[in-house]
Amino acid sequence: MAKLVIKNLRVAVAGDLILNGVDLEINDGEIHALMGPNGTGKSTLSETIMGNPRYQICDGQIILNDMDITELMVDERARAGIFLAMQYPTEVAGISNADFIHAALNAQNDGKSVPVLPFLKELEEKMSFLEIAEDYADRGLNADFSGGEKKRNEILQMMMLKPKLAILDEIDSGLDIDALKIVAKGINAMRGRNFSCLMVTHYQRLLNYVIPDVVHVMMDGKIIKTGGAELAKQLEKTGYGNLN
Amino acid sequence: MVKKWNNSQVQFPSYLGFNYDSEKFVWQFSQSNQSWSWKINEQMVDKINAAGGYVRELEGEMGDKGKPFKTNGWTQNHFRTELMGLEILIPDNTEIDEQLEINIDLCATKPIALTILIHLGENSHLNFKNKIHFNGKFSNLSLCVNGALATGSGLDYTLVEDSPNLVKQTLIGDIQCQRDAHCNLNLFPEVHGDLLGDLRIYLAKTGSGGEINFGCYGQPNDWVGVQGMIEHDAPDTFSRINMRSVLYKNSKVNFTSIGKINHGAHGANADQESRIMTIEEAKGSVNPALIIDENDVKAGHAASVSQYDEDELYYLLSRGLSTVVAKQILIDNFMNPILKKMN
Ligand SMILES: Nc1ncnc2c1ncn2[C@@H]1O[C@H](COP(=O)(O)OP(=O)(O)OP(=O)(O)O)[C@@H](O)[C@H]1O
Ligand SMILES: [Mg+2]
Repeated sequence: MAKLVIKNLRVAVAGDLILNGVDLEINDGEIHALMGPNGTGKSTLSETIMGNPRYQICDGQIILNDMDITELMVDERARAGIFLAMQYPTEVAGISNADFIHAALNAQNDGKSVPVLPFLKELEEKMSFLEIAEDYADRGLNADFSGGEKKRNEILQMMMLKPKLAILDEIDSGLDIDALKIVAKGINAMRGRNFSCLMVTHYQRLLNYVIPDVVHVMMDGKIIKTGGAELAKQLEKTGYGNLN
Repeated sequence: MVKKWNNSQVQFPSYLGFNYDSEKFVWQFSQSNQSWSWKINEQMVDKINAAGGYVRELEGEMGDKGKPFKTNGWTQNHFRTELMGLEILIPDNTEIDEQLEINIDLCATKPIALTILIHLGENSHLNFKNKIHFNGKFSNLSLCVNGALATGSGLDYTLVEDSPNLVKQTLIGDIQCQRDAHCNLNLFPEVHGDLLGDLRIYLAKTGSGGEINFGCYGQPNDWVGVQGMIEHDAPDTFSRINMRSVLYKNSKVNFTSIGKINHGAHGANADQESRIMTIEEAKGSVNPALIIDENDVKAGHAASVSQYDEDELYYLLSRGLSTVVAKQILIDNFMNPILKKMN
C-alpha cells in the first residue's frame, strides 16, 4: 500500500503564505507529475510533505496510508516511508556514500544493523544498474559529485531505501540525455503497488521515459488543473499562459 | 621532587592582546622516573641506530641543546632546568620510511613535565607518531615538543592522547625549520579538563614550510586556550594552520592562530582556518590574525563558530536517521579534515 492524501494544505515560509489550499491524492502504484511556473510552490509542497522544519503548516492534513503524518518529524516521516530526492542534494564529505545508505537502512530497521554482506551486494547491483562507478560507494556523501551525479545518487538511495512514496524534485534538471534515461530506468524499476511517486518537473522529456498516470499544474500555491499524460504534452505546446 | 619555577618571571606568551588565563597552569617539574614509561618498536630503534642516530631518555642539564629554540621565553627557561623525556636524533641523509611510534604511559599521581626533543639532519625524513596514555588519577602534564630541522629535512609529528580521567595540560611546541625543511605538527590532545597550548613553527630559511593541524573535543566543563603561530622569516616560505574543535555543554575553547610574515619574506604563502562547532551552550572563540610586513605575499584566513549546518542535518534526517545518529555524523564530518591527518 502506498497512498498519499493531502487536504487543504496551507503553508507559510518565513512568514509568507506560499501554499494556498492544496488538495492532492496519489493512489497505490501511481506516478504523478507536478508542473508549473517557477516560484509557484512545487518545492514548497515537496519539502512540506517531507517535513522540512522551515515550512510551517498553517492548515490542512497530510495522510500516508491512513496515517496522519502532519505532525511527525522529518526522520519519523522518512521511516514511515517517505523519500524526497532534493532539488539540491547536500554534501557531507565525512561519511561515505555506502556507510550513509547503510546507516539509513539501519534506521529503517529500528536501529538494528542490517547484515553488511547482503547490503553490499545489493548496493553493488543497484550501482551497476544505474551505471555509477564502484568507487563512488567509498566517496564522501555527494562530496564533489557533479550536479548530474548527485541526482543519480538520489535515485540510488531511493532504490536502496524502497520508500512507499518518493517525491522527486526536478530529478531531471542538469542531466545529460544518457543520464536522464538511466534515472528514468531507476524510477520505472520501482513501479509497483507498494510505490507511489510525485515527480516535479518542467519538461516533457522526462515524461517521455516515465509516463505519468496523472499530471497536475500548480500556480500561485494551488493545483489549478489535473489531467492525464496528454496534459503535459499540451502544456509543452501552449505554455502556462492559456490555463487561467 | 617537584620544582616549580617562578611564573611571574616568564609570562605565558600572549599575542595581540589575546590573553589566556595562564594562572591556573604552572609548568611542573617532577623528576620521578617511576611516573612514566615508554615503548618503542625495537626494529625502529635498530634502524635508527644503524643509521647513526638514537632515541634515548633525556638526562640532566641540557647545556647548549636548548640553543635553537629562541622564540619562546618559556622554552628557554625550560631548557635551563633538568629535563625528563626523550631525545631523538636522525643524522644527515637518512630516510626512515616506516612510522616511528612511541607510546608513553603516564602513571603519575604528581604533576609531570616531559620534553620531546627531535633533531633532524640534512635531507632526513621522519614520520613520528607519539601516543600518550594517562593512567594517573589526576593527571597534570606539561609537554614540550621541540624540533630542529636541518636543510632539506622533513618531520611529520603526530600527537594523540587519551585519558579516562581529568587532565590539566600545558602543551608547548617549538619547531625551527632551516632551508627547504618542512614540518607538519598534527596534534589531537585529550582535553577532558584544562588545556593551555602554544605551538610555534619558525621558518628560518628560504623554501621552508610548516603546517599545524590541531583538533580537540571540548567535553562539558573543559577549558581550552590554544595559540598557534607560524613565523615566516625568509622568502618563499609556506604555512598552514588548521584548528578545529567540537564543543559540548559548558566547555570553552579559544583558538588564536597567527601567520606572521616578516620583512624580506617575499613570496611567502600563509593560510589559516579555525573552526569551532558548538553544541548546546558551549562557548568558543576564534581569533585569526595575519601580521604582515612584506608586500609580495599570499595570505588568507577563514574562521567560524557555529552549530550544525541545518541543511546537512535535514538531509540526513530525511533518510530516516535519528537526530542522535545524524548529529554524530555531522560531528565526525566536521572533524574529518583534522582526523584525516592523524591517520
Ligand atoms: N526557505 C525559503 N525562504 C523564503 N522564501 C522561500 C523559501 N522557500 C521558498 N520560498 C519562496 O516560496 C515561493 C515558492 O518557492 P518554491 O521553491 O516552492 O517554488 P518552485 O515552484 O519549486 O519553483 P522552481 O520551479 O523555480 O523550482 C518562492 O517565491 C520562493 O521565493
Ligand atoms: Mg523548485
